Amino acid sequence: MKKIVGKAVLSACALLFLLPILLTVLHSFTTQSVDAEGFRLTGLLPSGFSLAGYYDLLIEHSYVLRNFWNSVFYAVTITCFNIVVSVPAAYAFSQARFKGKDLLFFFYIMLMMMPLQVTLLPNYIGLRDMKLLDTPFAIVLPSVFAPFSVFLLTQYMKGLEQSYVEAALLETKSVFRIMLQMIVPQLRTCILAVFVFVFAEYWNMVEQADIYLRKEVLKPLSSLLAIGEGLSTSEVLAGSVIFMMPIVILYLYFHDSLEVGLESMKL
Amino acid sequence: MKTKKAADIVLTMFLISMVMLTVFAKELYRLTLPKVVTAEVVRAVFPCEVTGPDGTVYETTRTAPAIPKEALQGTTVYVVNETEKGYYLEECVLGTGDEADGFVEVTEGAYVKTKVVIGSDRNLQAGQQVLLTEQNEWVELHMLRTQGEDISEYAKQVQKGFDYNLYYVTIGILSTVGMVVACKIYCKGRWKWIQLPVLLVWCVILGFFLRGAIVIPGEWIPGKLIDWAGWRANMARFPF
Repeated sequence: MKKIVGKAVLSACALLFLLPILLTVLHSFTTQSVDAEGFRLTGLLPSGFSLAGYYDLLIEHSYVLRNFWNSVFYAVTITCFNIVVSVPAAYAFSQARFKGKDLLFFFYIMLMMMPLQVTLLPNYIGLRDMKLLDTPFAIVLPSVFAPFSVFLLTQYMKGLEQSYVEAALLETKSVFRIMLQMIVPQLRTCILAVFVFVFAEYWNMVEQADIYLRKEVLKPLSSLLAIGEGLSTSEVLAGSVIFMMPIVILYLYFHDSLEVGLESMKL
Repeated sequence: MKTKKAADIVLTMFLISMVMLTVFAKELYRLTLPKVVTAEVVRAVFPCEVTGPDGTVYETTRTAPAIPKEALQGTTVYVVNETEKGYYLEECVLGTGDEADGFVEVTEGAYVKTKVVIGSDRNLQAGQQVLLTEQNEWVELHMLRTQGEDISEYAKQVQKGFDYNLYYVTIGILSTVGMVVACKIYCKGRWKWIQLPVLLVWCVILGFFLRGAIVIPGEWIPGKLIDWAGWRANMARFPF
């Protein structure tokens, strides 16, 4: 009995969390159930069925596709480069011995804890001085060096057997080789988990794009949907469903790695 | 395993749909339309002679609806009609009169403020959808043509660019299909996970290839990805 009640409560909670997504998907297939002025749903269940939102978004206002590909470009580029930068950094933090390592790592974590709004202005000034504002680099460069993935990978690497690295050091003195041939293969699950996290984070970014980019042509889809300028409510709902797709697919692909990765990182 | 297979199918369908929608987007289709320079029928001044009551002939002027003479092909012109779906051409036979200062008097067939085509980047047909352009290069080109300059080389370049559109679109579609098939065949077993990044990277490359090749309405292309000169200058002055 206790189990059934527990399951019912958890299911109700899960449904509650899923409700906004379900409503977005359902109402994206109708045009009548959304109050265009107030952007409010006129009823919980949609009335009628229509693909007008999708048609208007993808065919009539096809410039949105440009923003979709911008999102893909930013998210993929940032994620790939972020991992390329994070793995050696995490290796250094977990395996290397040098003075001030702990202090440096402490600063790294501090940086991670800072809200985005705190780092926006210094980043803006730096990008402005380097004349990188209003270019894709304004989005990509600061994000590539975000400390979150370094922290995750470091935590994971600290759990690796030190004796393996020491044994490898007897074979070769090339740290790069040890990292590539011994550490990275063991990190596969963790890297996939980090890939999903970082991709999701930068797929959903809004503030950076709004502040660093003025040209609409460079903005990602997330920024366009957040403002919704020039789009009807049904188009925004349809856009939201399309926007959700890559993340859902990514989760379907990597949910095993994500669970194992999180578990092994003790998060 | 079933989830991954479903994800595989959904991802493939999703990416292909997005690539196709992008390739066949309205903005891109508009690029394939002929660009035309237009002029409005205006009231122009023509010299005329008036005979007085005493039989004396006075030279004076009169105004009449007129079009630039470049718009005329024999006695026909292409009139641009604006509809909800865009601008369409209609072939009109005009009654013409005097000619002065590059303008030809229109006696019938068109009215003041009617838009007529005076230049285009290719041969036109009645009923065709067109894009109006105010671009300086087109106007300059038109001016050069009216001055008797040979612009055939430039026109050839423009035409070549448009011919390439179909080529690039075909390559884009075929290579995407090839890539998906190759991924399905070769990325199996322990390498299956690589399908997603490969396809994603492929789509990004293809997107940029198409952006660079055809696609690309001016406003889609950032003028410069990075201002290297400014960046170097700033770095030279470091610390700022």
